[in-house]
Amino acid sequence: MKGKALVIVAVSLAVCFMVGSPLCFGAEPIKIAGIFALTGRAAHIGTAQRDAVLIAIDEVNEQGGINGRKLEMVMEDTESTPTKAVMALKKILEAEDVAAIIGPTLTGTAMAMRGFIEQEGIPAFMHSGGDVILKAPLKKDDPTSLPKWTFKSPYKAADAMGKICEHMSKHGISKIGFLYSNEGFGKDGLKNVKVQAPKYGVEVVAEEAFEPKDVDMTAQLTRMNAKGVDGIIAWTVGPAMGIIPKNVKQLGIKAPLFECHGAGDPIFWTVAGEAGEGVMMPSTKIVVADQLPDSDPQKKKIQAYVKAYREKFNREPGTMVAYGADAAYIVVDAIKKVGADRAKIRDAIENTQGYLGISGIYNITPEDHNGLSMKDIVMIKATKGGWELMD
Amino acid sequence: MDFSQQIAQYIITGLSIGAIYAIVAMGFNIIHNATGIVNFAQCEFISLGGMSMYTLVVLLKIPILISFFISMATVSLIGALMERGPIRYARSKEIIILIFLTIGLSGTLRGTAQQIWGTDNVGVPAFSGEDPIHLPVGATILPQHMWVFGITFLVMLVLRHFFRNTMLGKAMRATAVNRQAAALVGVSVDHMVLLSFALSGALGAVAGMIIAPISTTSYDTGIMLGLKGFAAAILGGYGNFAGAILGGVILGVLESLGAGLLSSQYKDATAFLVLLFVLFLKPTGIMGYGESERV
Repeated sequence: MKGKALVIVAVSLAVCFMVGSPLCFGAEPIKIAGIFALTGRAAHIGTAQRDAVLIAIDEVNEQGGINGRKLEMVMEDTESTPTKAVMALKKILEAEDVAAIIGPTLTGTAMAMRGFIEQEGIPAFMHSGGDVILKAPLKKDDPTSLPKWTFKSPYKAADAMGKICEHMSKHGISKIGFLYSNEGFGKDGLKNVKVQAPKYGVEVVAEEAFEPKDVDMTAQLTRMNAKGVDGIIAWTVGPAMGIIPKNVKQLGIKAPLFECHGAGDPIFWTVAGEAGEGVMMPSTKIVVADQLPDSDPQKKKIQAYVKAYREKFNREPGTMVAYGADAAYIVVDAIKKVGADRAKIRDAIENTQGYLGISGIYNITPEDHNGLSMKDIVMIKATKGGWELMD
Repeated sequence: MDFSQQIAQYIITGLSIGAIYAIVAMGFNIIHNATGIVNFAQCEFISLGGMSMYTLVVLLKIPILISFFISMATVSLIGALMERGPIRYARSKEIIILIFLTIGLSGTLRGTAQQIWGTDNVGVPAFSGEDPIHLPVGATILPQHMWVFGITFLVMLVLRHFFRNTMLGKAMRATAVNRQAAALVGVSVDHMVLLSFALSGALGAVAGMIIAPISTTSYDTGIMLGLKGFAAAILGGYGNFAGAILGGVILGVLESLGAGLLSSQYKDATAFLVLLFVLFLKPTGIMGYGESERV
C-alpha cells in the first residue's frame, strides 16, 4: 500500500512539472508588452490607453488567467518620441519573452517601431491613428512589402474624414474650409479631405494652415469666412482644438465647425471651455454609450466597459480609450485560443471576424489589418461639457 | 465681410498678439541692459505666469485680480532667485557662459513645471466674459484682447515713469550705460542686476497671464512666445524700449497680414523674412543706435 501511494505522489509531481499546473508551483505568467506615450505631448492619450489595457488584463486575471497562466504587462514609455519608442521596444525584446505588443500611441512612434517588429516577428496591435502604418510598404522599392505582424485598432483616418463629409452632404453643406495644423497629422488630413470630400459632393474652397503652437487662428478663419464657406473642418489635436472654437465664436462665423476624431476627449473641454459648445466630430461610441439605441449590438458591452473604467479610475473615458481596450481584448482572445506562440497569435488576430469591440465590429483580414469600417463611427456634438449622439 | 473689414480684422489680431510680443521683448531688454546677457529663461517666466494663474484661479478659486498679483510676485521672486543663485555665483562672468547658464536654467524650470503640472494644455477663464465686441471698423475682438491692450499700455506707462522719473529707474539706466561709472557714483550694481531679473520675471508673468485665456496655457507655452518676443526685440533694436514695442507690433501685424493675405502655410516665414530684410539693411534693428550707445 505504502509503495502505491509513493508512486501516485511521484506521478502527480511529474505531471505537475510537465504541464506547469498552478496548483503545484504557480505557472509562469504570459507576458505582453505595453508600449505607450506615458509622458510627452501625447501623455493624456497614452495614459488613458494604458488604463484601458489594464482593465482587460485585470479582468482575465480575476477569472483565473488563461489555462491557469496569469497575464502580465511589461510596460515602457515612448515619451511621445520615435527614438525613445524604438529604445523601449528593444529593451523589452532583449530582456523579456513577450508574446505580443500592445501600443504605441502615436503614428510617428509606430512608424519607427514597425520595421523592428516585422523583423523580430512579433504580433503588435497599435493604437496610432495614421493609416500609413499599414499602408506604407516596408521596402521602398517593393510596394507589396506590407506589414505582416502589425495591426491597428483605431478606425482609419480616411473613414473619419468620410464620415464628416457624409454628414455635411446630408445637411446641405457643400462649400467648406479646411484648417489644419502644419505637421504630419494635419497634412495627412488635408490629403484625406481632398479624396473624401468630392465623393460626397462637398467642395473644399479654402485650405489654411497654422503652426501647432500658434495662439490665434483668426486671420486664417477671417480669410476662410470671406470665401463664403458654409462649413469648417479643423484637423488638429492639442491646444488648437480649443483655440479654434474660441476664434470662431469671436468672429461670429455662422458656419458649423467640425473637428477631428481625436477631439472627443475630456481634454477638449478643458481647452475650449464654453466656446466648445456645438462643435461636431466623428468618434467611437464609448463617449455616448448611454445614448445608443437599444438595438445597437455594442451598447451593453460598451456600457459595462465604461462602468468598469469609471469605477477603477474615477474619470470619464475619452474616445481613444476604446482603441486601447479593443487592442487588448483581441490580443487576449487570440492568446486564449492558441496559447503564447507568437506566430499562432498573429494568425489568430488576422482571422478575427465579427468581433464585437468597443470601437466597433472588427473584421480583420490579411488585406485589412484594422477591420473597422465607416459604419462603426458616430458623429457627436459637444454639448454642456459632454457629448450628444447625432443621427 | 468685405475686404476693408478683413484687413481691419487682420490688423486688430496682429496688434493684440504684437502687444504680447512687445511685453516679452521688454523683459529681454531689461535684463540685457543691466547685464549684457540674453536671458533665455524669459520663455519660462511666461509659462510660469500662465500656469500659476491657472493654479490660483481654476484650482484654488482665488479671484482673478488677486491671483494676478500673486502670480506676478511669485514669478518675479523666481527671477530674483535665479540671479541670486546661479547667475551671481557662476565662476565665469563671460557673457557667453552666462547665456548658456540661462539656457540650462530654462530647461530646469521647464522640467520642474512639467513635473508639477503635467503636459496637458489647460484653459484659464477670461478676465471679463467672452462676448465678442464689434468694433466700428468691422472687426470683432474679445474683451480679453481689450485687457491685453490695456495692460500692455499700462505696463509701458509705468516702466516709462519708472525709468525716467524715479531714482531707482535712473540708477538702472546708469548701470546700463556704464557699470563702472555707475558703481563709482554710488549705484549698487548688484542690486540693479537683481532688480532687473525680478522686473523681467514680472513682465514675463504678465505676458503669460493675459494671453492664457485666449490661447490656453501649458508648461511649455512660453517657448514660442519667448522666441517671437526675442525676434521682436531684435527687430526693434535690442535693448531699446520703444524699439521693443515697435518690433512686437510690427511682427504681430506682419504675421497676421501674412496669414490672411499671402499664405497661412508660410505665416511665420513671411514675418521672419521681413525681420531678415530689416536686419540686412540696418543690423542694429529699427531703433537701435549701435553697440557703443546702447541704453
